[in-house]
Amino acid sequence: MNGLGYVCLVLITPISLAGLALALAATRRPGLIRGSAGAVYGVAALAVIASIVLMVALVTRDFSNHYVYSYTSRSLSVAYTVSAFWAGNAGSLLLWLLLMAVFSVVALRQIRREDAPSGPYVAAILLAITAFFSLLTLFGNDSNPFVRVSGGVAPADGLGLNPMLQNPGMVIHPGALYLGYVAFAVPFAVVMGGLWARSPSAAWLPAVRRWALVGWFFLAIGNLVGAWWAYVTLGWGGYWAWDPVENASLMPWLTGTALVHAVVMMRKRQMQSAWMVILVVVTFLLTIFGTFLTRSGIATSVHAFADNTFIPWFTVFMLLTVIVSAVVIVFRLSSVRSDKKLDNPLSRESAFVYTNLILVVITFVVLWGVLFPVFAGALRGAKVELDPNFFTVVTVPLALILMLLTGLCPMLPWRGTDRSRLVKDAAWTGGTAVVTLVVLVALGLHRVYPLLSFALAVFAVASIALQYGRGWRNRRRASRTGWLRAFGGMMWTNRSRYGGFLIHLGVIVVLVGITGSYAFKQVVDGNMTKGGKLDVGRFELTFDDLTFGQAADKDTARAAFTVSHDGRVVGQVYPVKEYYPASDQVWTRVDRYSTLAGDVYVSLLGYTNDGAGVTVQAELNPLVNWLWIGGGVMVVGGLIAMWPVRRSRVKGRKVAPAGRSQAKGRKVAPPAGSERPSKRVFAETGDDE
Amino acid sequence: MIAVALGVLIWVAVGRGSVYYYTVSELLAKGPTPRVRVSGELVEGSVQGLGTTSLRFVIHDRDLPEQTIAVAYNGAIPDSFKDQPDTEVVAAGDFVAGQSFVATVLEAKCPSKYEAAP
Repeated sequence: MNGLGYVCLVLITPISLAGLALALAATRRPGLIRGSAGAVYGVAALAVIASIVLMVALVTRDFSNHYVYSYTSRSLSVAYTVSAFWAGNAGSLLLWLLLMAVFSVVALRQIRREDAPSGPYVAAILLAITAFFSLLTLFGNDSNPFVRVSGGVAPADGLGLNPMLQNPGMVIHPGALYLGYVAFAVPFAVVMGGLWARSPSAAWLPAVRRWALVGWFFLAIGNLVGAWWAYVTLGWGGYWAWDPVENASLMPWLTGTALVHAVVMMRKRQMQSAWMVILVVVTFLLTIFGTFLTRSGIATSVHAFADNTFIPWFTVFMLLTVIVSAVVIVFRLSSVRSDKKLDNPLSRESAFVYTNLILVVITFVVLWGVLFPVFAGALRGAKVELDPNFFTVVTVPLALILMLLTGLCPMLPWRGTDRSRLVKDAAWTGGTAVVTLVVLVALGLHRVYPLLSFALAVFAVASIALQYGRGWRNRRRASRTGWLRAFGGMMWTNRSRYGGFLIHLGVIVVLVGITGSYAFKQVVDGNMTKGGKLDVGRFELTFDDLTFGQAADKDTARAAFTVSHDGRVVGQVYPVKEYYPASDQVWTRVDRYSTLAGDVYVSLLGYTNDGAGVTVQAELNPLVNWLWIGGGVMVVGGLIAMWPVRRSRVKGRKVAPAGRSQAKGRKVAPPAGSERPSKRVFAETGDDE
Repeated sequence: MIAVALGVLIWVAVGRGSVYYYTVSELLAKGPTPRVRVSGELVEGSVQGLGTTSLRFVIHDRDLPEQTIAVAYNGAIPDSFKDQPDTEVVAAGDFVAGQSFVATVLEAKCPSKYEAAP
């Protein structure tokens, strides 16, 4: 079996290269595209078989496979055995390849239907990316999951999975990030292909929007779940440390967010086309850079950069990407550029441009923070690092401006022409912000950033509520249905608009959670004997008991604390210290008393051997759970915004809202020999009522 | 104007956020320094206070074992910190006179077969 996986992996490279050659030839002789598409299918089939082989090896615990031996053990549950597929370097590279191959099949089918002339170019780019990653699995260090253990005899048991990775968050987090990373390869291929083939942008923009949203959506989930995992398992009380791995997945998400906005601008106003194209390229490069940074060994220490065998591969690949993109942009960008200028600083267009500018600036700052130690080391000879202060000093004011824009943008009219509503709306929403500010100051909050953050959050929520309220009322009047039906109808018929607002609402809630838990965090620690008490803000911990236990793979010490709030008992927490003898690893498992107002986050740092005394650290993390709630709202909003419309269900043309003319451009290039309209189109961004 | 504002912002942030990174012997040669990071290996038998929130230990460079720095750290001790001679420690804080280092952040790396999370 193992051999079959190996053979499949080895075959992917030549087949994708052959497909690439056929695709390039197909730009002259269109018939050859069938061969190229065949290669795309073939590669996908091979990647699927190789993945099944690895999965079977994992589940059957075939310890003669070095990867299985390294990441699983007999005592590991089935769910985590499956998640070991992406727990290590080699397996996660295979996952990358699998996703790339499957996405290529779907994307190529779509693009051949929607924009056939650019098909060969898109196929060529997708296959080139696939070929690169298949080469990595073959020639990279420790990157082939089908290597046998030395000696070839299966050991009795495997080494097991790091206990910290045995968490539901770690099953989802890497998978979601890879889905997001790989999805952003498609807009790159589609845009480059479309430009190269000189297709009109209306033909390929729907595909760009679709895949950019998919990439954005999964990167959002990946980052949020990663932050949640760090918070509940790592025990330091935070969720974001600004370390290179986290930054690596944040950057493409930020540029991806800007990209989604630029696509809206390009579709609705034919503006920001150069921005859009460059954002597609930059986001793709950042996903590659992120994959590169995340490869084990590089990320743990920035100073280990020079030792890694992947460096030349990634450098060459990223350079090639830059060169190809630059050539395509230089020779083709003029075909999609419009001469429209921003003529009004108080228009919706301007708000989009400012938003994108700030998102790009934040990305640049984060990138600076990641690369600075490398450059500073080379230039000054000294090793310099940037601690989290660097990132917060820059990102906090920029994030506040983003909050302001989130509230301002929906009130600003397109082109800035009709300002009749603006003054009234701004007075209403601005008023709520001022009231918030006054109330908070009166309550004793005198710190500038938190004050601004909460006031701007209220402003943005009020502004979004205004949009929902107005749409809802109009819908109810027009459709003459009940309130609930009208709300559902409004959301469903204008998914990208109201789903988008829901995403904005989620982002604001996330930022409120970050503000609360970052600005008002309290940390206390102390030694306690039985019955002893420790104050954490208005909460109080009482140490009740310590019990020792033993399981198959670990020894545990579990402490019990009673949590009271203003003298009233509200709950219990049980922080644990675990010791894994097989790996000689200690894990301090925190426990939380969790409410919407915040968490009491308790970790057991030490204990006396008789169990009578403990050393604990307790934190108060106000509003921290709004971070996860806001994340959930973002995910729901994302799902609504990207849910496809089935054209067959839409009765006739009358349902289509006005102003869709650009979107009809997808019909500019019907697939050869087929009159069938595309089966699926995506919800258009609706115009103002 | 935006570029200038951004430049100033980054410049301020780099000033507030940069932390120099030294080995034990480099830091000893430099003398007392606030806000630095120092890396070294644990000196065998020097660890006191494991399991509490007040940790004391001594580190040195592998190739210059006679030069040492005593580190005092108050806070949660990372799980990866173990009383083993080959443990590599990175401490961030202030290097004060008299060869003692007051750490506010502590990281430890044990030679381990486990990989970092992907």
